[in-house]
Amino acid sequence: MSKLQYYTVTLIAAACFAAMLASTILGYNNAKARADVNQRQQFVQQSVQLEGLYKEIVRALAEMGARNNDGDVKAMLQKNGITYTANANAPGSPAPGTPAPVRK
Amino acid sequence: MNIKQNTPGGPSSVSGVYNKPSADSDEAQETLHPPPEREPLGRPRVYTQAPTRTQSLGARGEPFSAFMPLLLGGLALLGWLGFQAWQFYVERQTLQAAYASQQQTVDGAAKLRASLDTLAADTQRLADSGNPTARTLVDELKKRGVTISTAPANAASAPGAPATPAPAR
Repeated sequence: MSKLQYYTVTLIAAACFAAMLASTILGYNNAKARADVNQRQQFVQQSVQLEGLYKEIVRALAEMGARNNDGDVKAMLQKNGITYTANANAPGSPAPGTPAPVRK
Repeated sequence: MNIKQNTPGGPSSVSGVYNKPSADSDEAQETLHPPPEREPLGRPRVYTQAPTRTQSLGARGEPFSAFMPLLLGGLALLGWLGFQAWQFYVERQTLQAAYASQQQTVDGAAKLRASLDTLAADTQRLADSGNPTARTLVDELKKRGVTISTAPANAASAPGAPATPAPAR
């Protein structure tokens, strides 16, 4: 093996080592990034389910607050940025009206 | 070698073949059959070159070189590792884009969770203070399996690390 051949093979081996190192680091970082993305996706999906619960609570509080003319509940909802107006002409409403919760 | 030798006892002559142990004869034999070189005992023979009897020869009579197999193997390994590194790099770009595109949704989700936590905690506090509307709601939620914790929630503060919200179904 001549000197040129020796240096050629050595250069290729060094490039292989660098590529192996880069692959290892990139693979490790990708695994972490994939886990982060999956965790955030799961967080969002759980939040979508909680959004339904949030809407139910707000609607129930507004309905009962309007029905009972509860000032504390109305104030609490206002504190959380939710206002509602009682609709006196709403059919089938036992309370003065159907609340319409509106988020500010 | 035929020689004639005169003996002091008579004129008789003796004829015969006599191999004189001369130096010329030894030299001739050594030239024809040189003795094998011997190394001193206990010292291994050191070759400056590969012994020619065990060396494989190519078609042109030249010895085989390890350069070509090493070159081909190295190039194949380099190509494979390079392709893999490139794939990882592309995947990294995709994951970074996905992470960035999630940011707005995650922020909205965290905001929603914070609002839910605040509202649930306020409702629980109102129920604890004796408000009938809030108590009815809390009882109704409890019937459905939703309990409200008034402990300070650590959820929604870190979008990247979701935590369990206070109300859990």
